[in-house]
Amino acid sequence: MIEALKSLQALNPYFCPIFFTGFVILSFGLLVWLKNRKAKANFVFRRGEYDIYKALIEALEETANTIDLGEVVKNIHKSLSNAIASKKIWILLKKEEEYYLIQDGNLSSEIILSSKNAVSKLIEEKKETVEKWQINEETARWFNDNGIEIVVPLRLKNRVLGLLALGEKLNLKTYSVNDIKFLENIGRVTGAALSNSIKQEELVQKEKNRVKDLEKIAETRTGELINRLNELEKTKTALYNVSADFKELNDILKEERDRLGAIISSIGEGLLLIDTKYKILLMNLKAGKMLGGSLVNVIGQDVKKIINVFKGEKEIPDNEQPVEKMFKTGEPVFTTVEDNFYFKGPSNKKFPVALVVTPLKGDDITGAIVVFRDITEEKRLDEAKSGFISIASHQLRTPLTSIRWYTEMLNSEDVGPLNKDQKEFIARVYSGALKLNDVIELLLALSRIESGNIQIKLAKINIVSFTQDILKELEPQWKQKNIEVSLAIQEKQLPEIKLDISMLRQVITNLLSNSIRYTDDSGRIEISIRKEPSGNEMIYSVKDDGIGVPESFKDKIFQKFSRAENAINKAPDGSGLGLSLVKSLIEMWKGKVWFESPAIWINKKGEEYKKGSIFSFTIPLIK
Amino acid sequence: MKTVLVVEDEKPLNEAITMKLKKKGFNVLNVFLAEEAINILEKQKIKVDFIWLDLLLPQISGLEFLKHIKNNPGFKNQKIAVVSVSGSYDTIEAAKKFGITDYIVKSEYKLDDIIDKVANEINNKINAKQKQ
Repeated sequence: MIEALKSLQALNPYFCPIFFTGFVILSFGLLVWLKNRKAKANFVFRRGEYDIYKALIEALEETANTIDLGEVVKNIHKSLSNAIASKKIWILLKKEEEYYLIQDGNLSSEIILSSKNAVSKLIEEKKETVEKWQINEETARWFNDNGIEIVVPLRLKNRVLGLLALGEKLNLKTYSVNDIKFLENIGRVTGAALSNSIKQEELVQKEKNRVKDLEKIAETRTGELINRLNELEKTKTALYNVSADFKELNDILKEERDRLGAIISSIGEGLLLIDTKYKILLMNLKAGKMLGGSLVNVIGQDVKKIINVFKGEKEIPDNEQPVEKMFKTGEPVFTTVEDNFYFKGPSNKKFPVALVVTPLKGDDITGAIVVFRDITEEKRLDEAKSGFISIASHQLRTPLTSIRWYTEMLNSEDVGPLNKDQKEFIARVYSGALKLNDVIELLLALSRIESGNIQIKLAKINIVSFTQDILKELEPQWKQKNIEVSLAIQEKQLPEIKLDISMLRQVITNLLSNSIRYTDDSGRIEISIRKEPSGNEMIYSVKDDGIGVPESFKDKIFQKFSRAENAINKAPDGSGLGLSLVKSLIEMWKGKVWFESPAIWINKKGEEYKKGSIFSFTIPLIK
Repeated sequence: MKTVLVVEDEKPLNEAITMKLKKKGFNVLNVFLAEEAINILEKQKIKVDFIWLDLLLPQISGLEFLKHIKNNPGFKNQKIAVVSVSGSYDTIEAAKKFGITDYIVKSEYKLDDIIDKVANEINNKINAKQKQ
């Protein structure tokens, strides 16, 4: 309790002086009132009435220094014991509607008077003194049991704070009216004195409760704070994890970037990244080395100012550049040795290149990836190969010419007559020589195209008479097989075309020869020439009802030295070079060649049948 | 009798041509190298009506021979036919620059056809002269 008050004092330093002042005023008032009553008093107490009051006031004064309830009660008890001639003096304090005895300043734990007891009820109701003999039997029992004869309320105004119970009064049966009044006054004074302490106690309790509440709040708050802290900690951990993840991601990205950088810089091919405005975004080391010259700060520069692109000797105009082609179509562009592309960088050294131009794609094409390599060595090998083919062809041609000419001479009996068998044998030698001659001619023609060593000499050609001339040249062959050859021309007047005569001759001759070769006796060949609806080109088709192209061979038909099994069976002497040459020649005039097999025919009864093949190619028309 | 100078390094071909031309009634001078032809034309100053020239010759090539002889004012109008196995555009163009009578690709014709062509050209020349 003292502890609590100390803490209360600590809480409010003005507390004690206020109570003390109140107490002194009260005491003074009491003394004045008692002095006026002195003469009337008829007391049974040990001392004189005034002395008792004085002693009581002194005791109370002493207690004024303390606000400890226990101490106050102790002092009051002491003063009353000196003043009142009763063996038993009890001070009971009310706590939660029950009355407890105060002994040596401490509240006993035993309930002395229950709130349900008639005695307490009486006191509470009337706020008056109750005497043992004044009430009924039930009440008297409590008095007897406890040895109490009179109970006076300790009150502050109407509030009963406690009880003063006295017993075993000496030599007296009852208490006089004056005694009772005196006791009641003592009860009021004591009540007032007690009320201070009780108030303080209550305040202390209140403060305690407040502290408790605060503690509770603090605890709750602390809990909340801890929760918050925990959450914060969690957040922090999460953030740390995110940060760690980010770092890891960053590391991975850096690693990837480094790896990509290493790949880009270490690849043996030149790599350029450009945007749609031809600005260089990236150039690898190899590209720089190949282009040479001063390539400091090339990033952001116009690639067309850094690199000149040539096709053979001629510089390519911007709109024909492979990059431009890719931008237009969105399709990757590949060039090979045959395309004859050259780069010239700041070093002014021109070198042959093979290119791969691929689109750099976002939602749209955002630029181009240009991968290029120096193909000087490949070019050299290619030229060597072409040269080899050319020389080899020449070395084959000369002795072959000998064979042909001497066979011809033998056959024309320049050196004497031959018998039938000798003529037959000579014919076979000659036939072999002619076929060998064809193969060599084809090989040489192909090698010329491949090496680019071919000059195109454009001439105006009337395609119909041109075709008729070729048909006439081949007449012995198709007549021999009794093949029906027809020339179908849809338009009355076909436009004149402009092409290299020898190239066109080789194309038509090869296609017709093939048709004759692979068509059975009494078969059909139909040549059709028509203008495309667009008017940009002419389509030339050679249709036959021969052996056709097997499905498995369709993608190989234009490859060099490739021959389908049915073709080999039909004509074992073919070279497998004819269609390859045809394709190369047609592509030289930027035409297309294709075939369909089987072809659709209509017989004499008007019925449709599928047989043979139809080979078509386009010829550009002059506008 | 008209004289034809045959310059062909391949012996069997040279002999076949010579035989055929002789059969056609020409006087034939046949050599295997361009140097021998130059010797006949410039040193021996033998006049020939026609020169049958192969291009792929060892040492001095056919084209070099053409250049040499056509630079000689005495041979400015000399009729020469190139008969070669090479039919490449470049070679044909190069040869034609020297004002040749004809360029014949061996593999495209039978021997008799070439002989007939050449014989016609020799006779045309003669006919042209006669007309003058």
